[in-house]
Amino acid sequence: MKKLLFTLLLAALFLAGCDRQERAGLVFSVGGAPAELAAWQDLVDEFRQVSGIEVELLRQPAETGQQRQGLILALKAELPTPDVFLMDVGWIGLFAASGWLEPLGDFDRSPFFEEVVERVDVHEGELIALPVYMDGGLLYYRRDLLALAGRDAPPETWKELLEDAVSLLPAMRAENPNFYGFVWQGAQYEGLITSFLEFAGSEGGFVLRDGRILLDVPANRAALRLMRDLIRNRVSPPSVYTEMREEEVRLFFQRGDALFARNWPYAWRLHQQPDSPIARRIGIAAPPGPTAEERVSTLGGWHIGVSRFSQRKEEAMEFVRFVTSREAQRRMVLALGWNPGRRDLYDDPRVLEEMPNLAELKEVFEKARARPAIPYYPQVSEIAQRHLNAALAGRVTPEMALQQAEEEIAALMARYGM
Amino acid sequence: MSTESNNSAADRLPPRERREALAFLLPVALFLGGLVLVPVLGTLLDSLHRDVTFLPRSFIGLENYRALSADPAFWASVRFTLVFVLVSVPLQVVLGLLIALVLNEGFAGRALLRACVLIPWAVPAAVSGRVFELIYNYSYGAANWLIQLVHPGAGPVNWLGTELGALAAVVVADTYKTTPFAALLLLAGLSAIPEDLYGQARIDRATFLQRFFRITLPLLKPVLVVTLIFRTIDALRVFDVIFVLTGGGPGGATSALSIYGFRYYAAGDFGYASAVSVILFFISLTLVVGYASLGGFGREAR
Amino acid sequence: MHLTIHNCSKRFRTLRGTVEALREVSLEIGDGEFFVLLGPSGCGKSTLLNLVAGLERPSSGEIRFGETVVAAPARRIFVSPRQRNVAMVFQSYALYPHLDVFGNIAFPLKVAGEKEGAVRDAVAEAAGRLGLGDLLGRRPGELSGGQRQRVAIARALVRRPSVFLLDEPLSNLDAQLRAGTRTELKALQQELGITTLYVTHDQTEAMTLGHRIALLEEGEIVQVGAPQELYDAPATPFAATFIGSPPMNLLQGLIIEREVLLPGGFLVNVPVEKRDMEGLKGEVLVGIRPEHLVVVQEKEGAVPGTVRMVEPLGREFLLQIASGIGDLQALVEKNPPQRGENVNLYIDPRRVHFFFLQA
Repeated sequence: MKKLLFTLLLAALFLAGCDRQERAGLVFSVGGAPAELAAWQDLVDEFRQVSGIEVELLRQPAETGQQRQGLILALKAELPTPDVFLMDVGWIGLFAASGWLEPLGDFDRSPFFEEVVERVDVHEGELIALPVYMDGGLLYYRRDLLALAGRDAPPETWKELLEDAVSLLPAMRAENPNFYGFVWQGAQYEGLITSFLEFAGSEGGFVLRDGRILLDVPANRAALRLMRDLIRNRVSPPSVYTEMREEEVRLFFQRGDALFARNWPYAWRLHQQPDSPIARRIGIAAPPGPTAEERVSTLGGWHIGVSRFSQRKEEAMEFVRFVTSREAQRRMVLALGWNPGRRDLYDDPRVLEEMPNLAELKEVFEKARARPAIPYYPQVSEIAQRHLNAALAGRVTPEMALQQAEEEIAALMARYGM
Repeated sequence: MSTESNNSAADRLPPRERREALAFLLPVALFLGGLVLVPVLGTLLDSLHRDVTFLPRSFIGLENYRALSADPAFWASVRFTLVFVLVSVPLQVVLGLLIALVLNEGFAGRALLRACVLIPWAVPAAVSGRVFELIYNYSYGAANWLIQLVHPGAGPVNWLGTELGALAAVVVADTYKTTPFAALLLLAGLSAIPEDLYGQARIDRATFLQRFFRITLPLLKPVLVVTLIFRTIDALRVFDVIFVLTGGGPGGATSALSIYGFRYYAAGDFGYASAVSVILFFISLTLVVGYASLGGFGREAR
Repeated sequence: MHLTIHNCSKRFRTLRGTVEALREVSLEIGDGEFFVLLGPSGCGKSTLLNLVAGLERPSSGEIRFGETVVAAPARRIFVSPRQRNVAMVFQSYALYPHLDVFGNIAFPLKVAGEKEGAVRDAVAEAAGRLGLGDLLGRRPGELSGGQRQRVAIARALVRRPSVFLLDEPLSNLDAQLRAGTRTELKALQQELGITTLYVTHDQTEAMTLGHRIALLEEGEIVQVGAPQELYDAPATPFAATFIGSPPMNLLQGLIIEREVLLPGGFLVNVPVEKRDMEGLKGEVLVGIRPEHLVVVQEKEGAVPGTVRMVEPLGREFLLQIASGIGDLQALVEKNPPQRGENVNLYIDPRRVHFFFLQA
């Protein structure tokens, strides 16, 4: 059956790509905004000059879910291409457990964020991926507005954030009725989980205990209630739970319509563009927590891996080595304002000149909290997303949402014999 | 002159011609079999296995279906899909009928209007969904802008934020796209009604409404049934519009069956997702078989 | 119901410009009269029928039912077909395919909201009158052409209309059925006494059915009168050749005092009754019907000719003759000459028709 389906799929793909020429080199699947893809193309060109190996970029949509979907289909069918691909931190576990990643062998891991590598890039003792760039959730704040309220430091707890927002809202709204206190990713997608983990802090999130995944814990209840109340009390706009993903949050904050925003580091560069209304008026910090000690930043980022079904593994490894080299990483940092996966670049003077806040970010990334490294994480996340979003929409109480999510996750795990 | 048609003469073919007939049918049968039967059977088979990418494949019989029936999210999807069908299909057919009635009248520019009516249908569903997403956007969408225009002072509406609002949004987006198809089917049916009948009915002193209910509707019935069936089967499988517009939200409120199943495919659980597909398949199959057995595909009584 | 059609015109706007289907047509139709509108295709007869029915509006003019104005565009008056109490039988019969015979006949009554019992009685009566009693449960698709036509008629008559309109109802029937149905129709109309307007292109139907006939050509009325009038005294060459089968022979002639010179040098003396032609000069069309051309033995004053074709019609023989004055058709009852024979044709001057080409 597998062979028959595989043959049919191959036939279909063959027909689909009938007018394509024979692949001359590696196929590298990568997604992102046009500027990112352009930078990758430059890198690939340089690689060709250096090594003589052709690399063809397989352009993907920017959204993480769609990239995963495309890769799953190719890998399940055990196709030889793409040879190399980027993976979101959240689903490396799935790919590794499915046996789709070729062990990278002996790689010096010391230049990278070792804790991250240990948690995310190692499967059954083998290294199967390396970080290309890092992401951690950040709190963006309007330094100028906080100063008006007499604050010179960003909030460290959610309570403080709420106080800051509430104290400033009336004055701000008198001039701008569309002004809100805090915008964050709350739509029904993975981003909601990343926000939620920060609201919950180190005592909350996905609590793994006795082989079970718990969600109905006090920290989570408090977090979900807080999230819901932010919307209910109009500190956050209602569109938070229907529309707000990364770009929506960024645009909202960049318009100057919010005091605080939770977003990823990528937004910094864009916020500081000359034509941005908030340029030079903002600051970043680690996200607040339920208490100052429970603060966490959700770990994000993209890692590179090699397909176990690739027919050019040697060349693929060389490409991986190149992409994760200090030089290549520095290029991408300077071109795209990335946070590199190599920790040793965070002290590099040239890099620091471009991105002075990298020093602060290094600390954030070192302590960033990863999502559970379980192969069925995408499904767990989907269940959690649905229920959390339902609570935000007011369709269920936070307690019920967490309970039901926990039950569904348990049923899922039972099905998988976990 | 009787118009009874009979095809008994064609039922008995000499053996040689019968072989030839089979030879002609064989390529089509192979094609259909390969493209339709094999995937369907494959999916059916897959649904009886635990086919998860990170677990070894094993035969588990109806276990996937049992898990499905125990999953409240599954039943919520079934409920939503049924509600969606029951709301959007009649809406499409009624709107389509109104459009068809208008297009059936002769007036200047009718041909152009007929072509324009097809445009929403020709636009890909994902594109259409994106456009509606923009329309319903809370901060800068056209819908809220219109409300500000008509009712200054009323705050913006979070269209996609409530269950009802999201359902309405999805129904509107889908109906906008699919009504032209219904309209054109019904228009074809309307054009088949001889003009004379209406002249006769007017002379027989039937009012406009009487003409509609006593002549148009009864004579349109076969086409109406076809339209209903096709639209129902399509509505059962709705995916693109919902995926783009709400992603199944808020909180899974607009998660149709196909979206529910899709999430499992995208996460690598092919066995479970296949089970969902099989269920959808059987629902559609039942509808088609029911329709055929009611004589839908047979000879019409003239 | 007395019908008055006064100066009615109908103009259609098409892509190719304006088409005048009817031009200043005026008619008075008496109560209970069987009035035939006769003419070739495109002459406007169906359009006129539609104007009376109310399916079309006149571009100008007036139509009255009795004293009531039903259409007068100048005064913005238009009564819809629903309110005119007319009944119509279309050429296609327009039977409702989804209703059975009972349903079809009952339709006008049901639409008017008549009670069940009354409907059943009326339908039974109409069906009985037209011999449809056994067919009430059948659908139109199961009926023969003749049966369908009778259903259409029954439906038309079931509610006692003031005016009965028929648009070429016999043209879809085969010849034998046509003749029989013609007679039935005539009897029916006489029995019921409803004012009937009947459109046809068949002059035989017109002659046998109508009390009076209006002959139309290209939107205008050429002649109105009783069948015999049109036959005996056609007003124009068109009328002359349209009425009567086989058609009248027409020859070009020249007036010379009291005689008319025909081609080939033959002279025809103008009879006393036609002396109002005196003083007229110029070209004239001379017509003589085939039955008035007599095959004679003597050659005095007769036109010689050769028989080119003999067509047996059963009751008589139609001869195609090439003669000195032109090609002629003649009818003889028995003992026809052979093909190729030379014959002499006598033209009775009292039977000759004259049509002037200059006004």
